[in-house]
Amino acid sequence: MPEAEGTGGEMTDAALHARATGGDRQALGALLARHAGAAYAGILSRTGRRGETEDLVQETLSRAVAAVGTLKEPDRFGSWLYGIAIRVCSERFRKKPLEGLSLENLRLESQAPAAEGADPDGRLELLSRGLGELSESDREVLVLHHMEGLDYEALGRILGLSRAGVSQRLSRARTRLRERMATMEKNMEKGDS
Amino acid sequence: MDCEAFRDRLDPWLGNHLEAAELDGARAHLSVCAACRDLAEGARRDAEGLDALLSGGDRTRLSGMVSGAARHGGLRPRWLPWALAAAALLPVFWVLVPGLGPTPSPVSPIVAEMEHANGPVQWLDAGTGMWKTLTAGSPVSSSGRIRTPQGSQASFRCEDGTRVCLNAGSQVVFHSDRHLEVERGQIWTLVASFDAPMRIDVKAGAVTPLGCVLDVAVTERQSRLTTLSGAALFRDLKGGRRTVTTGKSCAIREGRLGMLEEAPSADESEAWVKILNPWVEPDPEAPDAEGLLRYVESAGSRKDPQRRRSAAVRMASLASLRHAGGLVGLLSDSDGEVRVAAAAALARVAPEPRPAPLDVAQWKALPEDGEDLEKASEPWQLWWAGRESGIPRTR
Repeated sequence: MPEAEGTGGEMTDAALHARATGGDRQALGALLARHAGAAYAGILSRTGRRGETEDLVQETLSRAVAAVGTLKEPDRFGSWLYGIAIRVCSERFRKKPLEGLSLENLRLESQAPAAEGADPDGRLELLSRGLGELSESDREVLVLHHMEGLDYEALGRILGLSRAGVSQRLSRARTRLRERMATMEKNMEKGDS
Repeated sequence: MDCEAFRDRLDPWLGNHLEAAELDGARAHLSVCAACRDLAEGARRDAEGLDALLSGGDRTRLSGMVSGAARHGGLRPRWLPWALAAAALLPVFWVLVPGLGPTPSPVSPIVAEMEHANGPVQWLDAGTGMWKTLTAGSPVSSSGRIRTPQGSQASFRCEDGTRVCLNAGSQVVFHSDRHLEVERGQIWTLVASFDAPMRIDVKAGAVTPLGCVLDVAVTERQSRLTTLSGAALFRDLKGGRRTVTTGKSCAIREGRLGMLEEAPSADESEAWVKILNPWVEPDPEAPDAEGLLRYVESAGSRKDPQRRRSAAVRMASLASLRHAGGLVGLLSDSDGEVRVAAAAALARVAPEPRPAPLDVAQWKALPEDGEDLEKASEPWQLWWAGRESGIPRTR
């Protein structure tokens, strides 16, 4: 296998980075496309607002392109880009603190219309609301895992955690989500009665 | 594995990250612990719900941003907000319009195509181990693993013409167009007649459709086959087998096939499929053997036995080897005239070696749903099931 290729026959991040810094826009696009999804998911998990997320992703990509030549460990491009995304988010919230997550916005508008009777017991709605009530780190790991389909290894690279650490964080986040949802269900039942 | 250990390993279990020994331990525990089973089912449902909530068509917008950043050195062009606004209209069509959105690059032979879906559908990219969004019109490669989160149903058309619908919360592997594996959830399939048998693997067993419409449901506790039309041979891994005919259902629990049961009505079983696919109803006016076979196999045709018999006779004269599975299924039919038509057609099209032909009059005289009928048709079912590699494929 050529050094520039990963296990799937794709070019490695380092090889793409080398081309990108040599002025290859296509390589730069491929590198950004590979990791922009995680940055998007990470930002969305913090803002809960799709429109705002797009602005911040745009800002993240702009900064990454401007600084791509300064990256010292090109094989860690993904976590580097994610770090920029989180910094962009923090700066944004320092300027204008976030006023709680809007549960409606976390349910992405981009989905196809739900099938008739697709959420007969309101479970998806409850999940959406529960997700909005989680802590940032719990929500982050769930959104990255379920939106981007990142496995333990990829999550570990981005979040700086071991495999066991990722497993623990995901378990904890799921448990808390279930607890939130159970509480919400109880409250709704009380409201009904 | 005890409750505490299982709860510790719940997340790797959900993500299929458990090693073989741990997985066996988890399965063993789930088979005896109702509380953990409920917990696991709930967690699975929630995980699929999160997939449904969070996966989807943001890729178009994201790729627009990425291209913009790469092309323009990070400067946001003035036209980008307008492009993003236009792109915002796309996701509505993401799932429904063929050709939009990313398409998995096929590295293996194409065995099926997703026709449509009413929510997000995902395929497992074996190269990266990640689940990615599958859009309408996308091909499914050999060994492609597909899943529908809660709230999503999808319809596929295999290369041989077989239709497969996945209910919400299902996961299926398309090993080939004639070999599926239901890992969990529920599928409905209208099996196309072909010159090789189809096989549907389930937990602890396998189904050989004899040209028919089936419902296959797999949960942690059981694998259930319901024949909505036609007949199918259901086998467990311990050598047990049963022929499941129209309106009957049978389950494998703890590795063993159970008794035949009455199935819910076809209308009830197929309600979700009919919403998804208007083409489910067979066409009694179809002029070819395929259409006639579908009509004779359909539950609705039984309302007019005379018309059904005429269709069976005409179908028998037109049928070819590719309809053999359907014809074998009709050997177990409750109507003696239909059995005779099927036997006559098989005598004409089935190549040697094949079971010794039974006299036409004998097929007619066999009492319906009796052991003798089962005994007479069984050699033909085994003949068909054993021909998976015996008949050259035409494509």
